[in-house]
Amino acid sequence: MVVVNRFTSMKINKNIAWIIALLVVLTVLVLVRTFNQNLFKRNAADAVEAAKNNTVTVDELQSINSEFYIVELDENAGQFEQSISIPFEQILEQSNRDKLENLEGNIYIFSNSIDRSARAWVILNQLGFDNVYILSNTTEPEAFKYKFQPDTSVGPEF
Amino acid sequence: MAPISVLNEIPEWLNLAIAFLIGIGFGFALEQAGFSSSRKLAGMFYGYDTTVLKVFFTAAIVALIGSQLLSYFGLLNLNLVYVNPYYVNAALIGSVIMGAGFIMGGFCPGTGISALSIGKLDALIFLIGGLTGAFLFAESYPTIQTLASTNYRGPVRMDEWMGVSPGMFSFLLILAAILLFWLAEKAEKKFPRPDITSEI
Amino acid sequence: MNARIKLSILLAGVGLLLAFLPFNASKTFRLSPGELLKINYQDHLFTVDEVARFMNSEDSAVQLIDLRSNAEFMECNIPGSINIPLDDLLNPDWEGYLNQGEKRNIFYGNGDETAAEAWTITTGLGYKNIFVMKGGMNEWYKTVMLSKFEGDRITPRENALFENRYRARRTFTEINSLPDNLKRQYLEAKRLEESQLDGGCE
Repeated sequence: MVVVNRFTSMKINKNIAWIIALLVVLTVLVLVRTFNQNLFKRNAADAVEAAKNNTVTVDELQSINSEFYIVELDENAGQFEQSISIPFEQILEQSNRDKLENLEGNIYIFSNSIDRSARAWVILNQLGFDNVYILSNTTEPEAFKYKFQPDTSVGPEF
Repeated sequence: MAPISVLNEIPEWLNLAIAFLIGIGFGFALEQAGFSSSRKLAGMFYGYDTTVLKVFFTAAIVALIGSQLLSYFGLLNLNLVYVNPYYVNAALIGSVIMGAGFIMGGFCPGTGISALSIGKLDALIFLIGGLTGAFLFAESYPTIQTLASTNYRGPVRMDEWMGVSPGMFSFLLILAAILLFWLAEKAEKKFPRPDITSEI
Repeated sequence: MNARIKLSILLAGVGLLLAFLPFNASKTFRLSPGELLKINYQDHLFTVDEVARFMNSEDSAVQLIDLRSNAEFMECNIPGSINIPLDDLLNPDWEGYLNQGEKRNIFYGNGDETAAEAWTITTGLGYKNIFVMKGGMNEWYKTVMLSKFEGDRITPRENALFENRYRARRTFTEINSLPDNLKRQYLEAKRLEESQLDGGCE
């Protein structure tokens, strides 16, 4: 009787062991994936929401009191004194990422072509940076500069 | 196989071959669970045989876990998986009709085909009736169109409606499944029909 | 300890693991940061002249998408474009237009910033065929609507260029000068023409 019980309990333990092993393997895989640095983990809707209010002009910079940093993305950096130069292509290198993460205060990214700053802004936002803004050297970069005059004399030929 | 990201560029014939193999697996699973017998299927409603609940709910849970894990590891693009649009009235009326048909006929469409494949004539008649019903629906659609498409809610997902993350919803559904299986076992003891269960 | 209890433990364990997954993978970018950074943005740009040519030839392989607000869109837009304000970009209603591989989607805003943001977001989500009109509506207005040929002799190439612009200018003025209700009808007719069937087999 005792021998049979020990045999069945060994079998039960073996099956439980398989289940626990499977769960552990799954947990490890999930953890590895979670802590993968080269991965976007943020809801894309956050970027759309943050894009509503992410642009700052150079003039507005003067009136900011808190600590901030300017990051320049172009090769010929130097338009702003005391700016940090991180070329656009190297923005994801570990040293640059650490640099950005350690900055306390708002980060304003600048490029002569604003689309470059916009792309970098989206990537940084999705990597978790909430303190990054786009710096523009023109006032209202997304305003329509012209006025359309309707001409009702020209009718379309339908 | 479009939702599975790593298999995006496979040729069409391979796509269809995989679908064929999956179909074989499905039919095999239905038959080996004994679902070709209408008495087993009807047992779900009378309480003496709850195999249907256990098999299908377990299959759903496995698919749920599999798809959530694959999506997490980036292998499956859940946005490409089709979610049925939700029409409230149509869902209610359709489910009543389907439930009544299921218990009267003793088959649902998938198990009807597996029963037909083992040669049952009543499955043949059942399927002919099912196809006739679908044909009549299509023909009469202009008349019942308002009924069929009122209360459109779009492709609603339960986890979004409940406001929890998909993973948490999966966990809750698994707990619900375990509870239901336990209740099913109790029901089987309460409504036994040994004359039927001994034969199927 | 029979099979059902073991199965329950396994399923409950996996469920618990799932419950603590930190992010919802279906809502995040499909591309990795490195991949998204490496894509050459310049390969995805069209000039306003090229877009004018698409519009003039009513090229159906191309879909113009106006990212500005509805008010700005109704005031004037490039004929043939649909209005998806940036805030609405991820609305599932638009997914049929954006997440497909046949037509090329050309985003434009007033400048370069909004279009670049929308391009990065949609490309990050794995949508293919996303392009941007360089300079946006400001550049379109400056070049297509207001440019004049200054010089004595015109080369054939410049001639073709300006012909393209004048034709686009005329269409733009005609369509955008329609009174609001006719304009809405025109846009609705265009939209219905291209509306897609929603179904299970895509």
